Amino acid sequence: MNPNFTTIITPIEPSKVEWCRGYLRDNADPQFGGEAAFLECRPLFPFDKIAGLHFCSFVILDAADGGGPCLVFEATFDGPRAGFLDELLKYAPIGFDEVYRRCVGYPLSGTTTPNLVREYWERHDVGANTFFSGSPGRTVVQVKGENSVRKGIVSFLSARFLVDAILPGRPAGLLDLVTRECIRGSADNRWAEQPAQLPWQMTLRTQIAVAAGIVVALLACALGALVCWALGYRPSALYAVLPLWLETVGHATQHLDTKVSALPWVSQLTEVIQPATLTGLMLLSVMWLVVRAAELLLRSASKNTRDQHLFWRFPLQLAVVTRYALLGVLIGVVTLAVISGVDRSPTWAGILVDGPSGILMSLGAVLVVMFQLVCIGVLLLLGWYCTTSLQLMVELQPLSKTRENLRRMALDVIQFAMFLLVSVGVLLVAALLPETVISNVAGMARSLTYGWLLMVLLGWSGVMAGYLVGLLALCVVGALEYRDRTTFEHPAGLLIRARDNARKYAREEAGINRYQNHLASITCVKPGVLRYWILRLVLFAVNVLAKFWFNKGELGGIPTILSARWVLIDGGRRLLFLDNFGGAWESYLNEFIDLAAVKGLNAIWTNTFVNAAGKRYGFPPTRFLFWQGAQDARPFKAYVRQSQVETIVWYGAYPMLGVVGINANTDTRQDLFAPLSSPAIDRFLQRL
Amino acid sequence: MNTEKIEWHDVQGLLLSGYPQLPYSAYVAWHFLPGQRDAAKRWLRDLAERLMRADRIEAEGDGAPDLRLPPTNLRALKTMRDGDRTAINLAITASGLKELDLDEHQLSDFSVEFLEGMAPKPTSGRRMPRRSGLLGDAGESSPCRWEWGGWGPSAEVHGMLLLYASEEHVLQALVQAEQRAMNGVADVVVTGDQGNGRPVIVHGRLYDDAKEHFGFVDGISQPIIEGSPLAIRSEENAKNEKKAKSCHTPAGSGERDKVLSAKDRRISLVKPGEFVLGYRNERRERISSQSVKPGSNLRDLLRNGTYLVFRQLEQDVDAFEKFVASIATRMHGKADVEATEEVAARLIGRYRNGAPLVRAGTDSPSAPERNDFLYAYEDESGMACPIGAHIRRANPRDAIGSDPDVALKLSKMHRIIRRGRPYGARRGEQDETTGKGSRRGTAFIALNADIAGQFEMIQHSWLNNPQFGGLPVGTDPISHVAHDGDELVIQQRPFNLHIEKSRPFVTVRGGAYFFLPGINAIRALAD
Repeated sequence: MNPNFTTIITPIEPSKVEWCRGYLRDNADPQFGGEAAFLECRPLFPFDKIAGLHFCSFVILDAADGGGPCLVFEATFDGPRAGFLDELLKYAPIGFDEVYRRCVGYPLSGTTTPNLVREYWERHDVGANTFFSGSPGRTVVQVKGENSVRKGIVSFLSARFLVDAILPGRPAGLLDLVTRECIRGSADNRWAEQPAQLPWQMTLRTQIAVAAGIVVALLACALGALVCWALGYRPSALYAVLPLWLETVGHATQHLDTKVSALPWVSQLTEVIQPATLTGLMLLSVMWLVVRAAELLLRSASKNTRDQHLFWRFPLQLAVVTRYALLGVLIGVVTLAVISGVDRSPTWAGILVDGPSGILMSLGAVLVVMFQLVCIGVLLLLGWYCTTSLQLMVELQPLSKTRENLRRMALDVIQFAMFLLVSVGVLLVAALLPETVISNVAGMARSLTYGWLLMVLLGWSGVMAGYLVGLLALCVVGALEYRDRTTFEHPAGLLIRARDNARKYAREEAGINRYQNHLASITCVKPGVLRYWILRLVLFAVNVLAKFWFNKGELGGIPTILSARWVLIDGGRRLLFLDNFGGAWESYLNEFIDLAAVKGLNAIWTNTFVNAAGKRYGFPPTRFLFWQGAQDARPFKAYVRQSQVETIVWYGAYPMLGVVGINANTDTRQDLFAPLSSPAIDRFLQRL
Repeated sequence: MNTEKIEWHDVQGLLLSGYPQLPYSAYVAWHFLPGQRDAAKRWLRDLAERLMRADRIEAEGDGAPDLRLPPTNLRALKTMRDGDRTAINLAITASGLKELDLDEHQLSDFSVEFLEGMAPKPTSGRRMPRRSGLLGDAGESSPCRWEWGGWGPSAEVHGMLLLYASEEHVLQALVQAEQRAMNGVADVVVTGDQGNGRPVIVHGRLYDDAKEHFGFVDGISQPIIEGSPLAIRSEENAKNEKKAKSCHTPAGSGERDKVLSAKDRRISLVKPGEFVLGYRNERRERISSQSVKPGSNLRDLLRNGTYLVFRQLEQDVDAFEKFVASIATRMHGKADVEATEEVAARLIGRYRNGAPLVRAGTDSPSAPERNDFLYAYEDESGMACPIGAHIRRANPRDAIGSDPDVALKLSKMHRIIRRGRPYGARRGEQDETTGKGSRRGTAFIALNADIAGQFEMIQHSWLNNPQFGGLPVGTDPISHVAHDGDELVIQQRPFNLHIEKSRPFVTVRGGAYFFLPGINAIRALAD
């Protein structure tokens, strides 16, 4: 998937480190061209000539823990790596030669033998453990082009507006005018007529998520089966036992049944549904309601991310899982009831009237029942409408916590009632079908339903078992964290070093508002196999999420990262983080702290520490891997500052654009020739 | 909700009040004279006793304030008769603290941006210093052109006296008295003009209509500190109102006793730690000294203090009016009063009388200075109040991010208390004292506990951010920044209006980051 990336880390001869820094600063770092919207490259390093280069940077890491100093060159580019490296060698042979001549193992013949140099680079390319791109699939040419298309449309419309030309009144007409005059009619923009090809990970995002959900559910089932097996139940035995269980529940509640059956409306229903199932159903419904209420209460207890720690989140998640499991069981039981009802009374016992004139009478009775059902259905629909749109439309403001919870609860109950209603309807309609068909179908449906019930049970126990394992794992992490509190200094001690670290602001000494920024950070991984593998696991998980889920421009809610990578170097002893972001350091870190991303951030960096003044300072203490940590804002910022290294050279192909802007430009271009509804056209025009 | 008790008797009065009853003010920037450290400490010790405090404690004794002495707390100030009212507050810069012999350890308790100052000198000629870039102080507003506090030849600012008085002659007397008091210890900073430098005494003036030079009512939306008298009063009022909804007190019982609606409180109540150091802030942290351990007899200098940002912002009113008229012609085809007022309101987000453009979903649509509105549900697309309008950029309330509730919480981490006042004669009026009618602007004062997270963050990530709120281009209509090809975007149908903003209407003329210490901290400094 575009963009591609490379991270070339080569050892430098220790005596040449300062020389390299100076040389790169003076000859390679592009100039911020005053008011210009681009970076002015130096003659020896004409990065702008490489059409497919998004970002690149040079960082020098000082010697640490036995490892010598090394030079890091990172690049984000379009197309294959070999082609990009060849282009580098083609356009900047002298500059790169001068720098890499100071690196250990560089071919003596230098750039006169480009193949050897390329091979040298490829050998030292460490790639990245985790890579994120804010606008995946977009090439440099596309990013720039789409921006100029948007600009072209704006200036076209503004000019029309200025000369008071008659504009189409309807938005659709306006869009038509734009596509006709600005895109089809303009040789420069004609290309935008073709829709952009987005990577499949983006276009199939929902499907992939659904597939992942199914896989997880199946895994949970498998785990559940394993647990059951360990407890002495074979899944096949369970399957056989299920109907018996249901029967037992039915018997146990028999005295309730008689009371329930006496109720006026229910008595009619019990003609078609076994009273036993009905009571079981009611019990299940009550359980479901209780769990749902608990879940809503837990969820609305506090929206503040600072309140969300393990002891609140675990019960909440368990409640959600249990609710869905109960829903699954409910569906199964209702289906069973429907099946047995259909199977037992194919002749509409109780409703149909025997006798010669029966047919007409029964038809009338069926119609009456149907009418009642439809009436209830309409009422429920009305309720549903009230709980969703009506309220919001009138008040135009969020409801209070309690009212919101009540609304959600009401919505659930209504949806639930609708489901029941539909089943009863199905039951009635099915009763009209011929008997043989019914008994065949019923038999099959019954075994399917029992299968479903079994799946739900296994899945639920699997998830519970999974959570138990997770809890144990987190407890292990908690023990590690407890130990670290004494092993490592608290980063609040780094606050005093803030002024010394101010020199690391160097990269930011430019028009911060207008340009993108670069951040390079190097931290040491805490000793121990466990820490290393936790970090590997988290980095892997973030990488998968970044590829398949966070591919719409946001990483855990942060909308400012253009391209970021995490690399484990020195055989996993150090973690290098290289990041291109929009805006200023302070607000960027605030986003990290205050948005959902803080969990990922904690999970990664809690495994690291920094060395300063002979002491080892840990990341702000986390609780159970995910919580707190960076939310300790000031120590966290001091920690980041301490971990930062100077970005000596940084180049960006479109330094004035932000992720949100780039993605909005793509949306604009995609919308140009897509069939749009009128609200979508309105949104298109508003985006300009 | 348990709010922390704040030691208001140790906090300087400016934090709680902009002194609306003292419309005349002078901001005196000074620097210590070399080699006078002991005298300087003596001066500070005396000054500490004259400073206006924020507490509400009644004057001791028979309850009647002593009329011979100036009042030193807000409650006393309010009960004084007209004529003899003054208030003094003191702010000190990082270099001022260094002059007072603070060691490295004590200094490192203060934030980096305060220690660096508002305009640190460039380290290399090649690049603009980070802080200036962050604040957008470039071009005309570059610190190399500032009259004071910048890179010019004017002396380094060590502190500022903020003097307030009820009448002009009282203020003059006060300024003279305070200048006498610091005679031989400190001198007023002189502007950098070679030869004919003027002393840096900025005269702020609060007009009865509370309007600044562009003609807008200023200072409407202020955060309210949880645990401040206003917050406590409104909490009590809300409780009483709930108890007896029928006997509603008639409106107009004075601006001070205004009842905050539930929505007002939801929007404006902010944790004290955002504005007073040593208390819990919105992130539930306390910013306090790292070097002074609790229990030691050393004073935590940060406690009950806050940071004060002062910027002298010159306003080009004629250019602004011309700009507004030109847009009016473009939008409405005419530049009459109605059209220009409409356009001006769309740039700022409020009409000149203070009435906000967002009218939906409020409790009190009639009051012009209403502040109980939000954006996410009421005006998400910016059709009423443009996304790039000044008040929406400066305080986006619940508009940034996908969840309005979370957004509102986050925005509370980036609020400032504004205490600025216009200086210079109003357009069309001649300044009697200097005879110059052309130089006018705002003496901008912001109070916050974290300059980087509050004032600076608002400057770079909101006001001057071209990508603010998903906009494609543009900076704040009245900020001092304008890039080449800068545009303002006004949301409207059928498509957004893009207006070129070729140059800013505001220029920075000077400024510095100060610390507004607690009274006891000043005493400790003077020890």
